[in-house]
Parts: sequence; C-alpha cells; structure tokens
Amino acid sequence: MTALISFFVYLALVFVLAGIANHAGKNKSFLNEYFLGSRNIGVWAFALTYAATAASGGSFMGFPSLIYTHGWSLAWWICGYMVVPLVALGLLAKRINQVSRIAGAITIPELLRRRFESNAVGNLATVMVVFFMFFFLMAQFKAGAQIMATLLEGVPVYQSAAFGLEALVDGLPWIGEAEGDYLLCLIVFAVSVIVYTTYGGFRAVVWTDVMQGLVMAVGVVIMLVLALTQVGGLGNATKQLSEMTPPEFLNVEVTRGSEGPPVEKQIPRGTWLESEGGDIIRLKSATIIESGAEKSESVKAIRLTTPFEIEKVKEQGSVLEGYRYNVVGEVETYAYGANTPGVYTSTPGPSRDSPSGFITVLIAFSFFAFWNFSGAGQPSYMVRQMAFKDTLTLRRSMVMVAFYFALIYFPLVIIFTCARVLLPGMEIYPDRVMPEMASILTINAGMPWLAGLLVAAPFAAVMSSVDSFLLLVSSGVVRDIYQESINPNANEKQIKRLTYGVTMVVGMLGVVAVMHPPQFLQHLIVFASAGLGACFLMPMVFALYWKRATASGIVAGMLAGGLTVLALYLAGYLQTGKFGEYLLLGLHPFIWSVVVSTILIWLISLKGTPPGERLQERYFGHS
Amino acid sequence: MSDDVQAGDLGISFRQSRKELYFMVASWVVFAGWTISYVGLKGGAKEGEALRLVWGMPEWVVYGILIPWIFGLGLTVWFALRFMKDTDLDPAAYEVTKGEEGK
Repeated sequence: MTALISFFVYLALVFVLAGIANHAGKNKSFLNEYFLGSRNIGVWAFALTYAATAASGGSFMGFPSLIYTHGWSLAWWICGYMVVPLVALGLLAKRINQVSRIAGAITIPELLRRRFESNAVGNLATVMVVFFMFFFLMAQFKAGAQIMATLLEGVPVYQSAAFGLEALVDGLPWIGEAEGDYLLCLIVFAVSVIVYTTYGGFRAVVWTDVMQGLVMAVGVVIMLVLALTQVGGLGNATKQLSEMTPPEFLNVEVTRGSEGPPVEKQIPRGTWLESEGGDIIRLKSATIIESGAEKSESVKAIRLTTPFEIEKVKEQGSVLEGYRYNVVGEVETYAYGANTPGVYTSTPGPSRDSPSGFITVLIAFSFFAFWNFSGAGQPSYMVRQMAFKDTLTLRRSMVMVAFYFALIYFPLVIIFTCARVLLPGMEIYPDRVMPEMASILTINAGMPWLAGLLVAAPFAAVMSSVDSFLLLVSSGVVRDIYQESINPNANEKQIKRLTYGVTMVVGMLGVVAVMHPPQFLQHLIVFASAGLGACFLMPMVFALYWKRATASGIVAGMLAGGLTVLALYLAGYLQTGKFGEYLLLGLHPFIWSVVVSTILIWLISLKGTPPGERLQERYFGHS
Repeated sequence: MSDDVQAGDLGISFRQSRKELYFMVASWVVFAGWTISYVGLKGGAKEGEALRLVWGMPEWVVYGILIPWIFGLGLTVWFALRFMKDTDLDPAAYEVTKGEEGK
C-alpha cells in the first residue's frame, strides 16, 4: 500500500508539471509551442528528454526479460549504446536543427517536404510516421498496463474492480478475451498519459521527461545497490549463473495428493508444484480442479533443471502442499544450451528457438548498427533535435546523454543477471521480471515503500515514450495532412481544437488496438524502430548532407526502406508462424533496409535532374 | 555562445558538420570492430575451461564491452567539448529566407 502511495505521488507530480507547461506556453505561437516548445530547449531538458524517450518500455520491460532469459550475452546485444550519444546526436542533430530553422519546419515530414519542395515526399513521410509509430504506441500501452497490474496486485479494491470489468466485457468481440486486471490498468494508464500530453503539448512532454529521466536513473542506481547486496556480490551471482541450465517447457495436469479433499480448488498462475520424483514445476497460467474431479485440465508449465534452484524453491516453502502433477505429451527443451552449465555466462547465450544460440557475431554486428543508426533515424528523436536552442546546448547534452546511457544500460545487465539468482522460474512471464524484481528487492530490504519509486522508473520510461509518440502522430495529422493539404488557411483556434482532438483520438485508437494484448512486446518495439529507421535514416542523411539528392530519390529510398523491413518480417512470420524478423544471411532487416535505401536514393537522384541552384544554396550555402 | 561560433557562411558551417559526420562514422567503425571481434573470439565457452571473472563479471564482458564503453564515454566527451564546433543556427545569419514557421 505504501508503494502505491509513493507511486501515485509521482503520478500527481506529472500532472502538476503538465499544468505548469500549459501555462508557460500561453501567448506563444500555438503550433510552434505545442509541437516544438518554441525551439528553446536547454541542456538539461534536451539531454533528459532525448534520453528518456530513448529509454522506453523496451529498456525497462523487454530488455530485462531478455537479460533474464539469455544471461550475460545481453551485454553484447546492447553494447552499441556505448557510442549512441556520439553517433545518434553527432550524425544529424546540428544539421537537422539548422535546416529545420531555414525551412521553418516544425515536423519531420514538413522538413522533408520543404527541403525538396515536394508534396510527395512530405505526404509519404507522414504516412510512414503514422503507420510505424502506431506499433510503438501499442507496445508502450501494453508495457504501461503490465507495470501497473504488478504494482496493484493484491489490492482488494483493485481486484474487485478488475473482476467486475472482466465480467462486463466477457463475450464482447476483440476485448472479451483480455483479463480484467490488464484492461483496467490499460484504461487508467492510457487516460493519464493522453490527458497530460493533450493538455500540455511538447513542453509538458519535455518537462515530464526530465522528471521521468531522473526517476529512471535513481531507480536503476537503487536497484543495482539492492541487487548486489542481496546476491552477495556480483562475483557470487555470476558464479551461480555459470552453474545454471535453462528450464524445460511442458504441459501438466495438476492432481490432488492423497490428503486433498474433493472440493473445488483454484490454483493460481505462478504456483510451484513438486512431482513424486522431486522435480519442480511452475504453472504458466491459472487452473482449477473441479469439485469431485481428481485432476485439472492440461496447463502449460516450466520445469527447473538446476539442482540448487530446485533446492532453493523447496527451502523457501514456495511449493503448494498436497498437490502433484502429471506430465502430458512431450517435454520441450532449449534448442541451444539445454543441460549446458555456463550457457548464461558466455556467448551466444541460450535460445529456446534457435539452434545457433541467442546472439551470433552477425546479429551482434546488426544490433551494434541498429541501436546507433536506427536510433538516429527515429522521428521522435529527430524532432527533439529540431528543438534545442543552440549548438552549445547540443554539445553539453551529448556529454550528459553519454553518462546517462552508461548509468542505465550496463547496470541493467548486472541487475537482471542477479534476478536470475533471486527469482527462479520467471520464464513463465519474463516481461514482468522488472516489477517483480523491484518488489522482491524492496521487501527483502525491509523497505516496501521504495517499490513505488522503483516501479515508477519503468513506468516513467513508458510514459515518456508514449507522450512523445502521441505528439508525433498528432503533429503528422494536424500539420502535415490537415494544414498542408486540406485547409492551409485554418486559424489558430481551429488548429488548437483539432490538435487536442487528434491527440486524444490517436491515443484512444492505440488503447483499443491493445485491448486484445499483443504477445511480443520487445519484438513489436524492434519492428517499429526498424521500420522508422528504415524509412527515415538514409533519406534524412541524404537530405542534410547531399545537395544532389532529389525528391524522386528520397521517395524511392523511403518506400524501399520501409518495404524491406515489412517484407523481411513477413518472411519471418511465414518461416516460424510467429511475429519476428527473417535474418537474411544472418543480418537484421534494418541493415538490409539501409543498404537498399542508400543504393536507390543514390542511383535515382543521379539519374534525375539535379535540384535547382536556389534550393542548393538555400540549404548548403556556397559549398 | 563561444567565441568560435561560425556565422555568416552556411557553406563553412555545412562543411564542418560533414567533417564531424566523417569522424563520428569512423569512431563507430573502430568501436564496432573492437567489441564484435573481441567478444566473437573470446565470449564463447570452451569445454573444460573454468569461468574467468574480472570484477565479478566474465572476463570477455570486461575487456570486450566495459572497457570500450569507458573509452566511448571519453571519446564522446572529447568530441562534444573539443572537436565539435559551435554554429549560429539562426537562419538570419546566412541571409536565407526563413520559412513560414508556426503558420
């Protein structure tokens, strides 16, 4: 309950900041203020809004679950962040700010439209932003709802409300299958973010990002200290990790033991059970043994394979007494790393699906490029690069962001390798390892109130991303579609009303889309990042650094980049039947999209008529 | 704004930005080469070989990731505070026609 209070204090602060931001933006040009903070963002605000937007729900929910599942190999997967501030900010920031000021642009599609004096470029850019950004929104909404659900677990009022909501939507198309707790948290989370984003605009987003960025950093540092203390030091955790072997996946029927009375028995998700032979399993979903029945329906579970983990669970008294289980059908083992001690402390890391392990050299290379260049190509970061007030702000921010990322990403790897030691059996719902870890660390330390702050860290990450994406999509619709193509003479009052309306509608559409929750959070985030990076990275690089680039070349590059990513994800789906990418020659689709996009922009631009001298001089001077 | 702010010639500013771009891409190549090759060679578990720890982490994490990360941090600080030049971002400084901002 104390955790809940500190969490709601944090939420209240977010709203106060939004209110102040709204007040501060009065008497300024509405669009320029609402979408770009009047291009007057200073060092702290620019650095932290950039970093907080980058550290999304993926960093605090999907990434920890991957570390938990694959061990130290995740350090290799994420290590591209060592030069992200240098590359992602050094690549475009100064030029994008300069060119956007010359063009008088306040959105990315608008910048491209004016740079090439082409509606085709601007319209295509808008469509691509709205399309891929929507996947981002979906993933972040799901992450926000999950965090909230973990925090509220066990609160009686919440549980009755969730139960009531589940009964209410039962049988309805699309949302009927969602669990009540998820649905309730999704609605509360989404309404909070949509309201403060709509009300405060870009300045509110930046100010709340600053606070959220600080909450994330403080949260990670506290978690690091608590985790290292509770595992007996990093060396001890790594040694234990080196003896672990991955779990097995199976279906079981839960049976009554000899003492069990024949009444109805509900068995919750996450319950531990022991077999006659002493094996330990954990249920992946809840089940029930009906009154008079001897066993439950078949239910999914995982089986631990590391002897000291099995002993630990037994010693903790976590096993449900009086009940056993029967294995149904085949037992599935990891495709790479099954029964292999040391797999969590070496590369390529264990993998359930891939016989070559989690991360090969080519995948490591792909991600080293992906984090840097796809990051540079995200419109949500680009739009921030249009907002800093001068280059001194940019230079100082690069330093701050570099320290910030070092403080967040490497410690997260340490914290969640420790989580493997502290929290066995989290493979049943790995996306919840972050809030579970926050909860267990603070309870063990005798400070449960601190869980609110720690859970606020990933929550802040999700919020700071959702608000940025919401603004980006609404600016695309209002500025790039309505004002450019439908009503160029709209007055400020009309624009203001439309902007508020669109921000709310886009947010609500995102909520409806995830009411039936998407399954793969991290895959969704990587897909949307890759798609946006594919569409915008090379077109923007050419737009800013190559005066010979033409509108036709940019349109071709943007389309080819986006389609390459879509095609390789479709191929991945056809190959495995799951949402995921196809690694052509072992490389991530983003790499292929950059290659294809670069070649097309270059060839088509060279074949076409060169841009006029006036346009070249306007953006490149006498060079 | 510092004394070496470039103003008045968009061409000079553009060439400086391009120079910074080349430096940044070269840095990326060096760091990618370091981490990918080192961890690719040393990160895998060899049969019968005991786990070697440095500062509580597997040895390959320290030499292949943590140390380059620290160098990356140093390079970013040097690039931002020494190599990168300030530029006047105001379009008026280049005598170009400003767009219809915030229309």
